[in-house]
Amino acid sequence: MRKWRRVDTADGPRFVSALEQHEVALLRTMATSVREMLDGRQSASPSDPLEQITGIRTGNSTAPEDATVRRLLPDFVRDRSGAADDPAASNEALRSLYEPQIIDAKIAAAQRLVDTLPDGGGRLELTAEDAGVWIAAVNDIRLALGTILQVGPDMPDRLPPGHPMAAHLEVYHWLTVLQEYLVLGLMGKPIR
Amino acid sequence: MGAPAAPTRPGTGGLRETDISEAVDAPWVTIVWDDPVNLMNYVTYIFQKLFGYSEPHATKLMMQVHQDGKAVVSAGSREAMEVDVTKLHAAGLWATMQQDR
Repeated sequence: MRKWRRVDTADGPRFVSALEQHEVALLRTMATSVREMLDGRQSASPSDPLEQITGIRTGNSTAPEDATVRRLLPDFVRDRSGAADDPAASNEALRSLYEPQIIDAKIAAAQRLVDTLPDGGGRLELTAEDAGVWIAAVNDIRLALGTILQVGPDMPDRLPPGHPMAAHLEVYHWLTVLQEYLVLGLMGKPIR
Repeated sequence: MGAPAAPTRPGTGGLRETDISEAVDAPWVTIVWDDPVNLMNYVTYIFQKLFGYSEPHATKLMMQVHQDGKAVVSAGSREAMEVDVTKLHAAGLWATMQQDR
């Protein structure tokens, strides 16, 4: 992972780094996977004759069964004790109301990441806006990967060679460093 | 768990101050829960960006999430909390809302 440089221009800061060809391919594959998971979730939402007339979308009212998708789209209310008596404040109601726009934001971020990748590797220069989109898109990839790898607070830096998840964990840590550098850059802190 | 402190950065506090006064009538809160994937700096940055909190205040809330397992990050009307939770979910943070009773 090469470091990022923050370059302040008349049009605002730019975040500059470089990616190897295989790193570009990896980011594209992973961002596309996240997008496809969310596309699948969106297309499973109920189609409502009213929606076709009003254009107001209704999302899924139940949580995703798949643990990875569920981590990307968590519940709004943690348990019944914290829930209001009003059914409009239930998980089901809030999810069907807001899930479509959360999915839209995540799909747009994943797509923007793919669109700004340097084809075949090379120099990468992001505006502050794109860097803000990147950190969200990379976070979603890390959440998905972290769910599959069952990342906990005491995650080892590496697994023994030959462990089936060893390579995946390396990718996860690589994404962690990538995201950390970009966040530090956006915060205007020195990139260590 | 108390109400969030008022923002310290001038010029960005208008919305939050409204939320806090509304909270008297409609005590809803947004809670962010600890998660082993989300990076500490990322969580701080998102609090600054979404809520306009100063870096010290955002850092304090992040540390509360990290050490206590959760923190109240905003308070206000139910509708305002729905918007906050939606934004936090879009950013990948684990947030829920509840009535503060």
